[in-house]
Amino acid sequence: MATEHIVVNCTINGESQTFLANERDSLLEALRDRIGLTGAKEGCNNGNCGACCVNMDGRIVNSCLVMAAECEGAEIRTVEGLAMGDQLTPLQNAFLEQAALQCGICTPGFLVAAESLLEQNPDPSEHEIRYWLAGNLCRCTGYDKIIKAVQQAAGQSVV
Amino acid sequence: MVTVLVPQSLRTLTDGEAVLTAEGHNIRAVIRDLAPRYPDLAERLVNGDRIGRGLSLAINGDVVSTGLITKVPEGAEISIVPQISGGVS
Amino acid sequence: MVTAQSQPQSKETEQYNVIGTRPIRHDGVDKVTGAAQYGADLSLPGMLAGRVLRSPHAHARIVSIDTSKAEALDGVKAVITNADFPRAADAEIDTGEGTANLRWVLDNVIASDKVLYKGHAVAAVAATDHHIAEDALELIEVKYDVLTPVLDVRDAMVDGSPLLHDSLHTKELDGSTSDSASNTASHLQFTKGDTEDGFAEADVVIEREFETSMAHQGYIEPHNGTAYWRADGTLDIWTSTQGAFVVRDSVAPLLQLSPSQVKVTPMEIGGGFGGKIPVYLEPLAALLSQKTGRPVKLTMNREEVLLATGPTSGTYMRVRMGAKNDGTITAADVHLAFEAGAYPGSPVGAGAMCSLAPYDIANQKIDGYDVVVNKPKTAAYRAPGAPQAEFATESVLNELAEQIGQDPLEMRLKNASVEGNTTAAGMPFGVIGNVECMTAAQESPHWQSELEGPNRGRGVAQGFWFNIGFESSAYAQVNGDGTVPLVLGSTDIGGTRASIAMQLAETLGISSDDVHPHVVDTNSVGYTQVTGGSRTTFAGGWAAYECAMDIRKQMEQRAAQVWECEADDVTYGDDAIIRGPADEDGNDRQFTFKELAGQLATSGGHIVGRADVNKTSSGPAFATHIVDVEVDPDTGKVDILRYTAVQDAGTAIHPAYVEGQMQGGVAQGVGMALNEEYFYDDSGDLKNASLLDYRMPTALDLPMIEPIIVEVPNPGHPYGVRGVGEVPIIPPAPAVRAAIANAIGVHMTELPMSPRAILDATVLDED
Repeated sequence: MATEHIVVNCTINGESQTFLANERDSLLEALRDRIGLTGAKEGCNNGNCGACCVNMDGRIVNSCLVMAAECEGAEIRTVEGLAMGDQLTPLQNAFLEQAALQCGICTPGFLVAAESLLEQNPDPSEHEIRYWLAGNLCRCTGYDKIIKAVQQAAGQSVV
Repeated sequence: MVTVLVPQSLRTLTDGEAVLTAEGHNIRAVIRDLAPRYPDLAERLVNGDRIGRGLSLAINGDVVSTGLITKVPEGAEISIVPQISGGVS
Repeated sequence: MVTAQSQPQSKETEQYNVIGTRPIRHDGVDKVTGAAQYGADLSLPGMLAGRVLRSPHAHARIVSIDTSKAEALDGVKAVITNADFPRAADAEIDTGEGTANLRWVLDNVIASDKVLYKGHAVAAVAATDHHIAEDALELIEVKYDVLTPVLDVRDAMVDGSPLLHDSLHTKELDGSTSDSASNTASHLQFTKGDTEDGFAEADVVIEREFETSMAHQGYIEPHNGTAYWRADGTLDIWTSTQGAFVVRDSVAPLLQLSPSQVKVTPMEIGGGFGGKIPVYLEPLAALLSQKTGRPVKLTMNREEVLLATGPTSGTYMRVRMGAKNDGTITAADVHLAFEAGAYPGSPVGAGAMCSLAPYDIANQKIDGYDVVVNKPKTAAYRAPGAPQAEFATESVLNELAEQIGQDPLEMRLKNASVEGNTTAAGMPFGVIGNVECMTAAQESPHWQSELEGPNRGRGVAQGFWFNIGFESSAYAQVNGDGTVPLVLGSTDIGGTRASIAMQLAETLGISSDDVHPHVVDTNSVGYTQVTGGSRTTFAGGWAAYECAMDIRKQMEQRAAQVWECEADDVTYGDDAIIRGPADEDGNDRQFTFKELAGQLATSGGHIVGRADVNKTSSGPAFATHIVDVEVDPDTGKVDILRYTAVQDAGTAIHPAYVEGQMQGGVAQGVGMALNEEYFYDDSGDLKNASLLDYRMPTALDLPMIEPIIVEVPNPGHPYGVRGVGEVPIIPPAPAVRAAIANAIGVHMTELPMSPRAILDATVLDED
């Protein structure tokens, strides 16, 4: 069972990165174990929970389903790349103000997914938000406050 | 005087009695007061320096957390209930 | 203060400065930037990765385990089995919300002579990389003698059923045991009045049988455990747990260590709901670390979580209830048989005590059976036992209301438990908000509205949960700038750093932002029980209150020292002004909190407040839920159209997180009601061990959940707090069942009420 290692060059959160991946590593494993970015979480490792969501070349992907070796030349953005220094994004602030997280384990995936929604659809309806986020499981909140946080970040009035 | 409420499952230890009266300033003293009259119940209620296995005692509806030395106010109702184990065992 | 939403305080909390407001949680920024460190995020120098080999059989005797080929694999550093552990004593240990037999705890962590469920751990490997550890698992050779599995609670109770444990006999509460071995671990019974008399008085009697499936807590973070056993015999453990002290007190005896040799650091935890109280990986990581001399991290994947960690019990339940035509319930007979999983300890006792608690019924009989089956050992899950038991009783009550033609909320109000009533278990109620919840539900816009349209229906149900108190500690120091670091032992699962810090701030009269709460390891704070039982804001808040009172007293003494007067003449006001007697010139003397804080260092040194509380007066929780559904008659799918959850929170310290608990509880309850089930084949193989097939509600499955917080302050708490976390999972299933019946006229008898189950019921109905 000899293991091959592969050199991967990519851009992560705006910085160019070169790392050595085990041929069996997923992008999620590479981010967490090789690069030390542990913001993306493993919840299921088969694409059902969305806790490992990252943005890859403008699309949101479940990083557990992407092989690290596929990331050559890719531009990847993780939850760690959302804020500019200590300046949180409107969505991050909305998550705090709306109490949109309890345990927080699903939060990185929701933030990455919802940022991507707002880039593509700046004024989504409640149904559009729910539809977009249906691939991200949250077990604590019942989703209410997450939906409201996205609405707030979209500049909509939230009751 | 305090009242001790015995659940159905434990009445085999009290000759069917459901409501007992006893004296005592704390749980241990109450059980000691019951012991001559209800030796089987007294034995079941104590496990060394703890309340008997799988049981909890409640004073006026509050489950005690300080064991046998918990103070018992005059006139209190003491209920014997299964430990609310929450399935963690 | 930064407030989350500019919503006004409730009229019950207007008297407070901090309580009832909605500050940003203290740990929030770390959790929206990815900086928060959960158990699996930990990395230590020289750390090894571990994996666990699990049984492919539901019931088998282990004949032999050969680990030699795995040990020979390059990169593998150690392989362990049950035989590597010290022989566990037949003793009881404290497991947070109860006790457990140490030998069974160890056997559940790693099987000894028998495997008792598919996924039961049999060996563990530590290697330089988790890929290698996974490869090594395939090289471990285990010979099994496969036995017949016992998968249904009723089959398990029959004489002659295959036995899981030859030594298990049925225990009665009075201490007597059955003569022959049995899968029924215990039986308990509560009675009140005489049920035969009660049924004779009834105009209508309804009897129903129910079956419910095992359901998992479904936390998004799988279990993890990292250990470093140092050469000096001390053991460090880092893990995602609801109770660091419980982990310490479980692991130490399993490894025959003193608790003082074990330090447990609770990492951020990605959900628990009761399921992260038992130890699974921590003892294995510890022993692997001892063998290798290096830190070892073990993590589960999702399949392992579903196969091998505690779901809540599947059940068989039977309820018979009678009422007069005026709605008075005259008698209830409740039979509960709960699957404990592989080892005794289902939550049937709690379920039995909750089952009829919302109602003052003169004649009751409740029987509960704790039964082992070849499925994973159950663990606590949010109001353990109550969602099942109250599903059965609330459902029959709803049918009684329907038959006698009474409004279901009116019927509940007519029979509602009030202060002074005593349950069948002999527990009298103090000040409770049972009626207040029902009344608030009646007055809600939802109940007042009309529901129209075909295949649509409305349902309502009540919920009761005890809440617990127990031990919590807090330390706080006063810094020179008037800020206060607060040290806690309670894992923060849902915002309890904030809810506890707010109570410290309220008591000191300072801003919540000036309090900095920290959750620390078992050597750095006094004993603190698990985050569970809806106890953390109650007991942790009480510890914070007493800790703050300790600081107030010391600040008064210090001011007296500075002013050279008697401490008795100094008062610390709720406005955080410390006032002393007038000086020689007749001028008032006072310090603000910050002024005195700034003088502490030069006036005798800093101040530390501390408190350790062990409280019982936790105040029960009640809830009333209303739901509207639409049933698709062709597919059997149920859509939730509208949902209102009413709940008595005592005092809502941070209303946004109280609402969050209510909404989250509803979501889990709806999952239990409609979709979530353990699907076993006849061999005991769990066929849906993934989050694709174990179907939890998504954002698309739920509407907004309207929370209505009722505040009937708990007289047994300085700020009137009642626990809020657990009770909201109870009413959804019976409320949804009633709504389905209202929509299509079919009374379901199983959970989940999945499309398949509804089609089965409707097709049968038409036959």
